This record gives sequence, C-alpha cells and structure tokens, in this order.
Amino acid sequence: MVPHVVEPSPQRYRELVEEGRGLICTHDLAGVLLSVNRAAADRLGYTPEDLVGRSLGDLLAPGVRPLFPQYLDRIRRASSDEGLMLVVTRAGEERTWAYSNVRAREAGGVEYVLGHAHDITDIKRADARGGDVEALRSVGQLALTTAHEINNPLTVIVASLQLMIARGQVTDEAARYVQRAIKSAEQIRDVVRDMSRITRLELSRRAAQRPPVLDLTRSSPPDSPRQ
Amino acid sequence: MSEPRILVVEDETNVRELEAEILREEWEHVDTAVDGTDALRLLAENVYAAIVSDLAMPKLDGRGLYHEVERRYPAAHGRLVFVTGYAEAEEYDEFLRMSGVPVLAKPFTIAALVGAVQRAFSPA
Repeated sequence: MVPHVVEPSPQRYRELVEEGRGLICTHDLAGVLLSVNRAAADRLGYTPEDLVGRSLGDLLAPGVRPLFPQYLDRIRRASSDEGLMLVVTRAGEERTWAYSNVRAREAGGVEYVLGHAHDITDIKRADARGGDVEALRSVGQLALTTAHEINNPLTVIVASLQLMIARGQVTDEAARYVQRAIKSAEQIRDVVRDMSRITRLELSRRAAQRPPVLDLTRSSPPDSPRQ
Repeated sequence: MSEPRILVVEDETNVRELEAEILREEWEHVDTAVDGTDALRLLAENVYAAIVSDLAMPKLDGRGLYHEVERRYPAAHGRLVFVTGYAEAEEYDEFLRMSGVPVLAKPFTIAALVGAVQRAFSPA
C-alpha cells in the first residue's frame, strides 16, 4: 500500500510564518523590508503594515545603525549572516535580537533575505544582573576583610587603654583623654560592624532579585525517578 | 587543685600578646600559639581549661582547630571560645551556628574577654 502523504498547504505555510512566535521578516538586498510577521511587528510595537517598505536599518538603535551597511555587504557576499542586533521599539526601548539570516532567490530570480530572530533581551539582562551580584559580592568580601583588618588593631588600642586604666598607670587628668580615646575607638568599631551588616544585607537583597532559572529537577513529576 | 591553664591562639602578634597579658592578670598559666597547627602541638603536651582562638588564621584556622580538637580531645571541645573580627562574615556563619562555640567579637573589652574565659571553664 502506498502511504498517503499530505502535502502541507500554502495556507499552512503562511500561518506558520504569520502566526508563529518566531520573529521573521524578509528584506531586499538594500535592506528594505518586504514582509514582517506579526510576532516581530508586535515585539517592536508596530503592525506588519507599518514596517513593510521601511529600511531594517531604521529599526536599529542609533548606536549600531552605522554598522548596517556592513551587514548588507556581508549578506550580499555570503549566503548567510548571523549575530546580534540592537533594535528600538516604537516606545523607544532597546532590545537585543539574535538573528540568523539567509539569502534566498525567488522563482523569478530576484534575490532577497529571509530573516529569523529571537529576542534575547531578558536573558542578557539576567546575565548582566548576575554580573552585578558577582561584582557586589567581591566588594562585600573586600569590606568584610577590611573590617577584620581594622578590628585587629582596634582591639589592641581599646584593650591597651583599658589595661592602662585598670593598672592605675594613668593619672586622673590623663584618664579623661584615655576614656575619650576608648570611646572614639568604640565608635570606629560600631561603624565597621554596621558596614559589615549593611554589606551582607545588600548582598542578600541583590541575590534575591536574580531571576528564577528553570529547575529541571523540580519540574519533574513528584513520582518520577531522579537521575 | 592546680591552677587552670589557658591557651591563646592568634596569628596577629599584637593581639596575641595583649590577650595573653590581660589573661595573665587573672591566671598564672597562659600559653600562646600562632595558629591552629601550633595550638595542636601545645594541646598534645598540656591540658587547657580554656582555649581562646581566632577564627581566620593561616595553616589551620579556627574551624579546622575546632574539628581537630573535637576529634583528638573531645573533653576540651566545650572549652573553646572564638575571638574574631569576622563575626559578621558569611564564611563562618554556618559553622558558628552549628558548633555553638561562644564568640567574642573584636574589639572586646577586658571584662568581656575574662568573662568569656571564665564561662569556658564550666561550659553549660
């Protein structure tokens, strides 16, 4: 029996592009957008109709816009190009897209570029936040080490002065100055202690702000065997 | 009954000498060690009524000393007191909570140091 193969209909192909969640567009070799799917347009805050006919370069962040001709040059010389692009939404927000574009040819011989991208802005921001936490952790560790280094000589100052008073080695007149010195040393101790506590609180707070990651172990059904 | 013997373990020379001097005002026999390894050498030779130790030290730190004392001299285990400028350090938090060893934060007063040693003589 010959298996019956159902050919995908043109409508299904169209829906795949137009209704899919991937960010898809086509542009000519000059960078003018020929088509944009709804997901890509939505992500930028436009309708597909708003974007068709505009240059893809216009959607790039001003800082990277001068690089657009280099991209066009690469895609004209090679059959594909991939990398990151910084786009600007209608509301002015900059977002990072990872793109993988290929040069294609229509039946009539006209060449165009088929673009496919993923919005990785949230991932990049999460990475940056992770970097911030690490940097803060290093500063926090430095603060705690500094506290330790200050506390050792402070111990010697406070205890030595107290020892002088306890042994009656200080005249009544000088005792006032010694007491004042002890009080000042204790103020330094309190500042160092508060600094250490604030550093630790800040580290805990920043760590709590890190975005959740997919926990595969926790995602497994409760009765599934753990590897 | 013989006089209690006290061991001070501290890598900072000034702090070590001062702690020993303060404690010698109260007790006759006070020995000093420069780190945990040095302390273990003295623990092999003497019985101490109290061991006053820093936490962060080279070679063998206070945590390592605690575990070695627990293993080699279980009776001396409850006589430890940590004196540290790292009281707020996350690194030692869990250990200090688990061990239950009394902690005296630097800088300390003379009364606080003497009191901590007296309590170590008869741990709760």
